[in-house]
Amino acid sequence: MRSREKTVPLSRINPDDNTFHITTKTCINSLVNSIQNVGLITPPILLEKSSKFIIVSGFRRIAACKQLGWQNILSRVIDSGIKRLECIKLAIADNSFQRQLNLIEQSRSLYMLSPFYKDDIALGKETSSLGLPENPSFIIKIKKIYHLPQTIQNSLLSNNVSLDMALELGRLEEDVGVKFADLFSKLKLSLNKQMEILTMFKEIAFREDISIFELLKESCFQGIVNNDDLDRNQKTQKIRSYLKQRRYPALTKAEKEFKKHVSNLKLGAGAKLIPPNNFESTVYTLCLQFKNLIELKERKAELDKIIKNPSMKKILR
Amino acid sequence: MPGKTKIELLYIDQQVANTPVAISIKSRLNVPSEIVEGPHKVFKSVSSANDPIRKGKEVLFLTRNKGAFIKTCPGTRSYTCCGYKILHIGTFCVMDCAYCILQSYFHPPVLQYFVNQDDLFSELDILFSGKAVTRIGTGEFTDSMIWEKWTDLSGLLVPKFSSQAHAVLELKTKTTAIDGLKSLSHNRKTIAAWSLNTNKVIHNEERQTASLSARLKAAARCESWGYPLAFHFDPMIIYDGCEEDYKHVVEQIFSHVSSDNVVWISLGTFRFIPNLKPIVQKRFPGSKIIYGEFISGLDGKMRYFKPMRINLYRKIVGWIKEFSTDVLIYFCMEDDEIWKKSLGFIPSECGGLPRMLDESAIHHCELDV
Ligand code: SF4
Repeated sequence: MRSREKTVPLSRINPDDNTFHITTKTCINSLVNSIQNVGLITPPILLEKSSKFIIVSGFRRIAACKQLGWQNILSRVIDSGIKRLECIKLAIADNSFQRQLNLIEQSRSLYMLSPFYKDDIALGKETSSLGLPENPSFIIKIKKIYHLPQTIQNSLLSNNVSLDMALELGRLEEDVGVKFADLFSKLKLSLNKQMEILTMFKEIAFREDISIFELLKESCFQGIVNNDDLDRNQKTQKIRSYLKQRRYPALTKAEKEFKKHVSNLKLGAGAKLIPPNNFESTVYTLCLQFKNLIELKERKAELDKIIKNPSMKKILR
Repeated sequence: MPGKTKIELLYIDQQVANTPVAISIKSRLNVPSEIVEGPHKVFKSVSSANDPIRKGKEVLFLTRNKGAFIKTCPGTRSYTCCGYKILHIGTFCVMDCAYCILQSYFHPPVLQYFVNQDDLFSELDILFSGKAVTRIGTGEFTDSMIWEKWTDLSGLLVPKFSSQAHAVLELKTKTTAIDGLKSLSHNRKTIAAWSLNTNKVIHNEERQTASLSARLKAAARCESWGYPLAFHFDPMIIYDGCEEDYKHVVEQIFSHVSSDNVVWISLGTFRFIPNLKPIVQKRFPGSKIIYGEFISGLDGKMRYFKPMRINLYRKIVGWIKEFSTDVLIYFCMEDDEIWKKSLGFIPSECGGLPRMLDESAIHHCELDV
């Protein structure tokens, strides 16, 4: 690739042209310190375009030098006849050979490259030499990140949502996806719990012919989310039981009734009555704990009382 | 929502290409055909389609049944099975019900018809020679009557059953393709049966099936030709207002046919293997049927929460009994608790479900014991 070193006035570099912008990093403090101490080791790469320069690589270096009050910067200026694809590759390689690109950066890179390739298989053949994923199905997934709203991208970057969850949220209406990303980031939920909550929301909304957005706005739900007296775990627990009760009203009611009857049985600490799973079978399990014959006799007496208790009859009705 | 399906291509296994059955189907179907060396090419073309289930309804594969034609219905230990036998004439269906279990049962799902009918009839001869009371049906892996347009199967099976006195054939359908039954000698050894549902379920979930009133008119015609009848409320779907709708279906049945001529009525609420859920979500995104209050049953299938099933069963049993206290009502794959709470007894008190059904078949179909 033809290029030459040239000292370029910073005023002639357009910092807002993001054509070749890959990095998601915005903080330049450490870079400012480093340049101040040891100078600019690697010159940025620029492309001359109608008397201005656009940045191919080195957005943060240029911002750091500006902050240091430099007027000019030694740059590598590539020939304006160079094809756009070559510039994109250069921008990607300059980033990916210094460090592992995060998913958003990979997505930006793939998004820039893809118009130049017939399909994702052809694209995959090129990407490994640029330090990008080469599996076409993974490429398809990663490319989608580019279109996700910023909040979802941020949640992904900070590992508050997984790639699959981010894409799932991206399939929702934008404001809904963003609200979930926000919620999951605040509650720091495992993927399983995120999936459970999202599925519940979708299914309740569909069952009740309302939008997910309306459901999210409802006061019962907002009351839990905005309750400052609850910590993260308490909120999560309350949200899950609220959703379960709304999604499975008959089952939840039966569980509550069972609990009420069990409490009427006044089982001691050494006894536990377990209902059949989802009340589908008719087999109940009674666990009795005892350490010696005396305790066993006590349990027997308790058992006799339980059998006579009307609540037991109601449970087994 | 998927549009109308139609057979567009006929694949013929080269092993059966010259059989009279294959030649006859080919000429009646009148679509492009291709002779293939085996199922591989057919399965590949179906599997690689965007919607393999739809594609499986658009090709018909004529081949041999290399396994048994007569199979035992796969019941489970946890729920009461009816001891039915399956006559395996082919697989899959041209209609397209959102809840159809066949969508997740075959991998890939392909419309297949078995042309080695000599083997089928040999197996039937062995079955008949055993002289055991048998209930057997063709409507488990396919709809019994979709084949009427292209094959003479009913024209062969119905007379075959009429010539013996221990087995009954149940032809179960959601179509009205019954004209071919009219002039057949059946000797009441064939039961014409319909799966029924509410108008709402038929309209929303059962693509390309006949309407409720058309099914019941067809049932009335079969009755007028002397056929015994059966009805299957399966799958019953629970939704707001479903009770009134199912009541209407019951009323409609008995305004079309005589209760004395009904061999049995089965009831079964919607249940499905978990694999079906993503298929319905993808193929029928507007369908709400999978979002009921389902729990995981003892056999791993998703079922409505039990008290909800009992509630609906009790009501429908009551409505049926308003018309007839004699008609045999049974549950498909339910446990003793459901029987007791909905019908007031459990099958073992009456000798077991298979025996109850056998007795009704003996009575209505004039079987020898
Ligand atoms: S009619 Fe029966 S076999 Fe055919 S699609 Fe519907 S449920 Fe499936």
